[in-house]
Formats: sequence, structure tokens, C-alpha cells
Amino acid sequence: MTLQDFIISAQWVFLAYFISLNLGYLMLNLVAMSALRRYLAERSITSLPAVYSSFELPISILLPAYNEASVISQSVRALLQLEYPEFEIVVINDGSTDKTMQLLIDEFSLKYFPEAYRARLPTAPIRGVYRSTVYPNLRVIDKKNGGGKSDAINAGINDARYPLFCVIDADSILQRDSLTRVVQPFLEDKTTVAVGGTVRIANGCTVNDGFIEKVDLPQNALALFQIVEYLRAFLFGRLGWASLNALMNISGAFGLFRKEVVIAVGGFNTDTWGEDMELTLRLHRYLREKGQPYRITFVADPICWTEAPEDLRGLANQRIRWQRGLAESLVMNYKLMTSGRGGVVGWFAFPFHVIFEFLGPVVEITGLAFIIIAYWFGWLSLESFAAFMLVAIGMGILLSTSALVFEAMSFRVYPRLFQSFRLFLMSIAENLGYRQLNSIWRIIGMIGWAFGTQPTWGEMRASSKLGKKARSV
Amino acid sequence: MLALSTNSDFVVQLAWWAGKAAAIGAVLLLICVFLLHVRQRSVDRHRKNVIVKWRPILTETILRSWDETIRLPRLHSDDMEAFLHEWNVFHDSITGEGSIHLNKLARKLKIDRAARRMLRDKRVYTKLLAVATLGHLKDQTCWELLEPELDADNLPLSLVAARALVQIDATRAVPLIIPRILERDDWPPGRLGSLLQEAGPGAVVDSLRSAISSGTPEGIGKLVIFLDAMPGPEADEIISQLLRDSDDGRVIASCLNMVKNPADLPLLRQLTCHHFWHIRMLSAKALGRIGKKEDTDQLIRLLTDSQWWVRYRAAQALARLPWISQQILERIQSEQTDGFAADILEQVMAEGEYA
Repeated sequence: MTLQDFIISAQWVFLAYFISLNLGYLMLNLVAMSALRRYLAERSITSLPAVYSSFELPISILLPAYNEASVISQSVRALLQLEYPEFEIVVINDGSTDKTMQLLIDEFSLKYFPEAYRARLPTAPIRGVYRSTVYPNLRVIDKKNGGGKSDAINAGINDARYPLFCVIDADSILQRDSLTRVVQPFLEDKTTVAVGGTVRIANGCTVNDGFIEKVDLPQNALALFQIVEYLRAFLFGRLGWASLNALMNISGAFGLFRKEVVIAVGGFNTDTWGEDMELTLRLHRYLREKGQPYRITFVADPICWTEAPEDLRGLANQRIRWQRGLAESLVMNYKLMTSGRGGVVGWFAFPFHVIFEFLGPVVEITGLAFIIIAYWFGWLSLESFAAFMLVAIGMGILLSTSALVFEAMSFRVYPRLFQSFRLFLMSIAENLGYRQLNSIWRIIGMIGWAFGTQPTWGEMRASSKLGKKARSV
Repeated sequence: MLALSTNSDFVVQLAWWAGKAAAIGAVLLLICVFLLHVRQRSVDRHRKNVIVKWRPILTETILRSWDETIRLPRLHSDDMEAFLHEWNVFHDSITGEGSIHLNKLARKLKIDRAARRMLRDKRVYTKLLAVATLGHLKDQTCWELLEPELDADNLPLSLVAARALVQIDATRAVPLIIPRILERDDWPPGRLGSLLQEAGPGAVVDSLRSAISSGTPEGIGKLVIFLDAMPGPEADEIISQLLRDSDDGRVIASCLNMVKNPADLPLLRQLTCHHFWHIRMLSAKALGRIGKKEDTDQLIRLLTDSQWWVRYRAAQALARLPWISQQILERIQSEQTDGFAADILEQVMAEGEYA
């Protein structure tokens, strides 16, 4: 093979990859568009009180906490104010070394409670269960550190009283009606086993009393880039896959699950960095293997807000962690793809994630390096170089702008035209370095996965300037 | 620079075209975002204007006595949907005299005619507003128009149609609704419960009884839960009969949740030994409601059950029995040789202290 043959073949490979990647996303876009229209029509219907009255199922809210002294009191206070007929809050103090437990005891008048704790899922030992003497629906499990968030959640599942449980992060900010919205799929379809909620970026917003008071865009460029990413990921990514019952991930920042099904599959996996995605895939695998009708779905309303990292180090940690989580989840559940009962999720969504999400960063960075090197050494003309850059950037902008259209036609969280225009500019700018940087971090994540160690709470925390952790998109 | 072959030229051309198409597409989408913003702003402004104009009138209508000579502003057809939404929200938040006034206002504004027209609209939201409106108006003459909507594929539309028919004539509506409860898997039991409650026991019990007596175990399981919304001797009698005659776990479980008749106690005692733990748990719970002194030992025995929920419900039932004081509970706990039994009693006693 001559050098020229090699260059031509490589051009074909990269171009075909880019076009199929973007065509795949455009197809997903179309599916999501139809799902969103349906969702919006139904949503307008639910604004009539007679259609959806209060027959919601009771919910246990699980709040795992490790060294969350700075946010824990405010988080619990905000949760206590949620508008929902019947819910309990179970905080799981996973052996915090700061004042998390003492703060909880003081703020909420906790007293030791002799609970006959049921260890249906194995966890690190429980030191005790506490109950608030002021708020009857608040309990705190004090346990030894189990090495990660999954262990804490499993302890919470063991202690949950209600048939549905909702996992949230200590720094997640919910809407007052978040539970009412996220429970709807369980009321409409009894086969629903898990529901994810749309997570939005809280940077730039005004938070009062634990709730979002005013939504605005942040000044920080990294946070702005992440807003565009979240819009893409949730408004057409998740929505598109969910409408095909092929949702691959229910974000750990906010998800509602049917308890008995999660216990049946063994609870959250403690050996992964992506416990949320791993559980979602395991639920698909288990229910498909059993031939049991089920639905894993997604609520498009913006119901959970999270703080995004605003510095490169925090963002790098997060992306490395997400990529490792993705790799582990895919490998642990590869049988979903090879199973005769894989369905859309196993035969389409799973390979799509392997080819475009898992391998995507490698192909993107290799392709970019190839084009630059080929141009540098004069093997590629300026015209060819420009054409390949245009297709890579143009497709990226097209996808991001389509997410802005989704936003404008649906929830209009950013209602001012100027805000949309700023996000459009960010969707152009993200292609000029941010996206490539992300791919490099993700490749580091893949290398970490190949030679990996087990996750711990410390490593799972993004070290953002705000000292908060963010969950995988 | 290497000379590029025709093959490579084609790749470059393809890349150019794909890139240009994407860039043009992005600009078009940006224009789309702009137009959506403008349109939505105008829709919001219009809705706000309608609300500002009509909300005080609606409030006045429900608070004051009705005056037939009242002069009302003209309701434009463009304002109809926003007005009807507001009118329905008002209707759902009040009962009694106020709702009668709202209906008089609606007739004066001729919205019954508009609602009939809207029933023919293809948009679900418009249709739904029309159905809900005609239901609130209790308009007998539109029965034939509403009945087919019971079979609508759209779940909210079918449910709102069922409610509208109940509002118009519950006795006529319930016999149409109950067979559909058996046919449709998408009707949520919680919402049907409230619908049948709205219809009232007089309209429901006979239809429910006949459907249960001729139903399959699966059908009975689906229907029996609605007896809970129909308090009264008729419902108790159906539950007792089902408990005696049925051997289907789902039916028994549903009945155990509602059993109130002390005559069923012998059967309940037998069910505390059922092989299905869910039934043992519900039997314990039922004994807590209607059990007698001699049932105390049955409940103490269930404290050692292998299932946590059975132990928990048995302990709760014990604590609820009127002749079991805190001291007696403590004594029962101290007598337990089974650690699980002692633990669950300790938890339930602590719950009692916190309550």
C-alpha cells in the first residue's frame, strides 16, 4: 500500500465514521422530536387537575453522604419541603470523617432508633439508625465507610420502607414538584421499573432555601459548554433512547426505581465508577433475560439541578470517571448485546454506545491528529484539510443547535433570545478545543480503566471550585 | 504535496458538501429558535391577557350569588382554549353553589356549543378540554358524543371521558366503565378509585357485584380493590364471600386489605399460616384491625416468621390491639427467645414513642 492509498483509505474511514456518528445522532434527534411533541401534548393535558389527581405511590428518598458537612443540612431541609403526598428521607452517612453526622443530629434532633434493619443487600456494617424527633419522615443510617456511593445506596435500599426509591446527590437541587413529575410513568404504566429525570446545570442560577429561584446562564465558559452538552444529552439523547425503551443510563443525580426489582438484580454494584449506568444496563439485561415486560423511561421536565465543575481539573476528573464508568458498565453487561433477547437496547443502543461513545474519543483524536499531520507534511491539501475540519465542526454545531431548538419548543428554561444566542455561540466555540480536550480526558479514562483500580468516594468526587460533585450525563 | 486521485477528490467533495449542509442546517435551526421564541412570547402574552380579563369574573361568579342580568365581555373564539382551561381549573377546585354558578356563566357565554365543536378537533388537548367542560356542564344531550371517547387510545382522554360521563349520569356511566376496567390495562387503579368514589356506592355496588360474580380470578383481582372506595355492608358482604370462595392469591390479598367483618376471623386465623408470605402479612394486618383477645397468640407466633414484613406487620398489629399496653408489649418482648422477634417489637415500640 502506497502512502497515497493509505491517506485515501484513512480519509474514507474517518469521514464514514463522522458521517455515521452524526447520522445516528440525527436519527435519534428525529425520534426524540416526536417523543417530545407527544410529551408536551400530554404535559399540557396534565395541567388540568382532574386528569392527574394525587394517587401517587409513596417514595423513599435516599441521600448518600460522605463528608458533606457543607451542604447536608440545606439539602435535607430542601427535601423536607418537597410537595408530595407521602415520602420519607433516608440519609446514609457513609462513615464521614467530617461533621456530617453531628450536624444532622443537631439540626434535625436525631435520636438513636432501634430499627430491625434488614440486610437484603450486603453492605459495610451499620453503626446505627437515627430518627428525627421533629420530622417523622426523616431517618439517618450511620454506617462504616463502604468504599463508595453504591454501598451507601444499598444500605439505604435495605432501610427504605416504600415500594419506590429515589436516589439523589447531596448537592442536587430539586424542584418542589420533582417527585410528582418523576412518578408519573409509574402511575401510567405498571411495568415501569425505573425513571430518570432531566438534570440541568445550576451554575449561574440563584438558589434560595435549597430551591432554584431564578435561572440564568453562568459567566464561566466551561459551565456554559456543559450547559450545551447537558441539553444535547438530555433533550435528545435520553429522550430519543427512552422512547425506544433503550435508555442506557439513569443519572445518579436523580432517578426513581422500583425497589423490589433493584433488589432482585442485586442492588448497586460497588465495583464500578459508573454505578448508575451499570445498574440501568443490568436492569435491562435481567428483565430481558426473564422475558418480563418492563419500561425504563425518562421525564423530560427539568426536575433536578446540579453544580457543574468550573475548573479544568474538576472537569477532567469528572470526564475521566465517566469514561471509566462507561467502559466498566459496557463490559459488565456485554451479554445484553449478544443475547437473543437484546431488543433495541441490546442490538442497537448498546453497539451504538460501544462504537460512538466508548471508541468515539479515540477515533476523534486519531482523526484530528491524522489530518493535522497529513496537512503538516503536505500529504493533504489546504482545501482537504479545511473540508474535513468543516464537516467535523459543522456536524457538532448542527447537533448542538438542534438541542437549542428542542429547548425553545419545550421548557424554555432560558427564555430570553439573548440566552439562546449565547448558547449558540458556545456550541460553535466548544468545537475549538473544548471537545478535543474532553476526548483526551476520556482516553485517559479508558487507559485508567484498562489498568484500573476500584473506585472510592474521594475519587468519585469531582474537585470543582465549588467543592461539589457532579454526576454523569 | 501528493497528487490526489479522483477517489480522494470525491472524499473531499463529500466532506465539503456535508460540512456546508451542516453549517447551513445550523443557521436554519438558529432561525427556528428565534421564531419559536417570538411565537411563544406571543402565545404567553395572549394567555396572560385572557387570564387577566377572565379570572376576576370567574372569582366573582363563584363568590357572589348569580345574577342573570350580568353583563359579560365578549369571549372571542381565539380566547376559548385559555378561557376553558381556567374555567375547568376553577371547577375542579370548588364544589356546591360555586360550580352551579360557573355552569350558568358558561351557558351565558355559549361555551357548551363551543365545546361540542371542539370535540371534533384532532388535537388531543382541545378535545380533552371539550370533554372535561361538557362533563362539568352535566349536559345529557352530549352523551352519545362522549361515550366513544371511553375507548380512546389516549389514556388521559379516555379517563376524562369516563369522569364526564359519571358527572352527567353516574348510574348510566358505571355499567359502561366497569367492563372497560377489565379490558383496559392502562387505566390506573388509583384514578379509577377516585372516579368510582365520585360516582358513589349507590351507582357502583350492583355493577361491581355482578362483574365480580361472573369474572375470572384476574378480573376479580382487578375489580375487588374498588370495594375499598365503597364503604358499607354490601361491600363487606362481597369481600366475605370472596374470602370464603376464592383460592386465588391476588383475590385473597385484595380482600385481606379491606376485610372488616368479625365473622371472617376464623378464616383470617387460617390464613396466618398461608404458604405465601404476602398473605400471612396481610392476615396479620387484618388481625390488628378486627382481631380478638384470642388472636394475640397468633400474632406473637408471627413475630418469628421468616419474612421481615410479616414480623413487622404482626408487631404493629399487636401494638394496635386495644388490650395490649406498653407494659404488656415489653413483657412479650422480654419473653421472646427469637432475636428477630425481639428486635422487631423493639422497633415498633420505639415507633410508638416517636409518633
